[in-house]
Amino acid sequence: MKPIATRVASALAILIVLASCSTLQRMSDEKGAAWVAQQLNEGKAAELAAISSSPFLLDGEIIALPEDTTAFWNGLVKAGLKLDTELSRALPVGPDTWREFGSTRDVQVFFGKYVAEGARLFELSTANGRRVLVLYRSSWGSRKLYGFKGPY
Amino acid sequence: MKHTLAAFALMLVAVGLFAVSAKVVDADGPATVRLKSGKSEPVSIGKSYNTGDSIRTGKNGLVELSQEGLTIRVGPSTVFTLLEKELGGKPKGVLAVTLGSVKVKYDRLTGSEPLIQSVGCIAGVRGTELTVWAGTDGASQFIVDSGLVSVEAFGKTVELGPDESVVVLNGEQPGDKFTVHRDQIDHSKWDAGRVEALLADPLVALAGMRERLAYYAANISEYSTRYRDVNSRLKAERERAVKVGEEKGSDAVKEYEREFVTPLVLENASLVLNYRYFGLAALSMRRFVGSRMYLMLKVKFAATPEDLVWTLFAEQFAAFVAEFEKTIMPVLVDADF
Repeated sequence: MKPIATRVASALAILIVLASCSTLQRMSDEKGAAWVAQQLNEGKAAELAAISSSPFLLDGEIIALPEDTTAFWNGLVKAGLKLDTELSRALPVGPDTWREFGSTRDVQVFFGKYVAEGARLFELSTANGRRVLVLYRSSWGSRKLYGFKGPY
Repeated sequence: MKHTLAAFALMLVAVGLFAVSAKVVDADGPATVRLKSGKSEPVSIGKSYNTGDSIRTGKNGLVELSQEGLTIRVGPSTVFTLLEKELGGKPKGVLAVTLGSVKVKYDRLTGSEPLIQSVGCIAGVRGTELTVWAGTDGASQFIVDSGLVSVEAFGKTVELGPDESVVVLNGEQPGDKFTVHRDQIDHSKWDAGRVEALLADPLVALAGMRERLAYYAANISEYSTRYRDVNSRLKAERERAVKVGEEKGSDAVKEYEREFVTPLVLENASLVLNYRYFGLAALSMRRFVGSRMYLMLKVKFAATPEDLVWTLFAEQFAAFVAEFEKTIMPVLVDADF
């Protein structure tokens, strides 16, 4: 039987590891969200288009052609949409996350079929206090955007 | 769920029975094919594509396909799909142009020329060479080089001969035909005009799309109802076949199935083929006209979301989506998305 001190130390170590994971995830989310906001704020539509998936989800609509997704980012930049680089909310994409984008089968199938495991949902604020949602995934230095909702 | 799976199985039977293929003989620039399984891959020369497969070309993309007695040239920025429907008891190929431009040339007549479909209408052709344009707002234009073409939408048919053309706005009957001059044939210029029309009055374009959606929904409802009826008759005949087997043996069962069960299986396959055809046509309209329309308007009003035009458009678009969800979704399967 292990002494109590050893047990406490093990439990603490597990807690520290878990806390680190959570902190690392939070840091990764903040970095990812800030990057998206910065690209948009600095008018770098091409960068956003380059990492956008095809098909791409816009609100509840599936945008099937990559040139349309490019047109979307160009249009947002042209409209002058600015995002707060601070993350309001981040959560992992789970079985019910699709409901954040809509309530149609299109949205549900899109999440099940095209959004890769490990994707995150970010909520950011616009300069005038409205909200946007971004579907984002980063893995080993590469980024992917699956969808955008808002401002709403 | 059971119904969807059964329909999907029958759809595969239907596609297997009636599949028509087209072989890629030339390709240049960006072009992908979205197979009916849902998988996408680059278009490759020498490969044949079948019913349900959809070719998408990029800005400078060109694809030439060959089908029995027929050459199909898919132009840049085009969405072109091979479809099929049952017509007069026989399967009929349908070349669907949802966006962009396609030129079709019949090298020889086979008697089973496919129909040509755009978002808003369908055309029958007889020994001809023609160009089809499908615009951003769902409008289409047919231009005939040689032969005869009948363009039909909402009960009105316009017959076109050489050097004649007609424009069909989505959700409306074909307009009046007119003579086209060779130097007027410029798809990008024409589509720029369609985009301008869409942005100038998005509510009209959206109303046209809802009108067309209602047409697709009505056809789906008709074929689905007939499918359910035939399916229940098929079920009853299968039960009778089992009884015949118990009473009269296996030869009698085979005889009974040939006479009473097989015709119903084939009828069912045709009905599934048809309601799927209308479902896929509606989905194509939603993806390549509706969703693009939504995107363009969203971007246009991104800086002024309180604008009344956007508010009305968003409200009516939501109604369109709700109608789609209710009437079209039940005949679609996940692989279609």
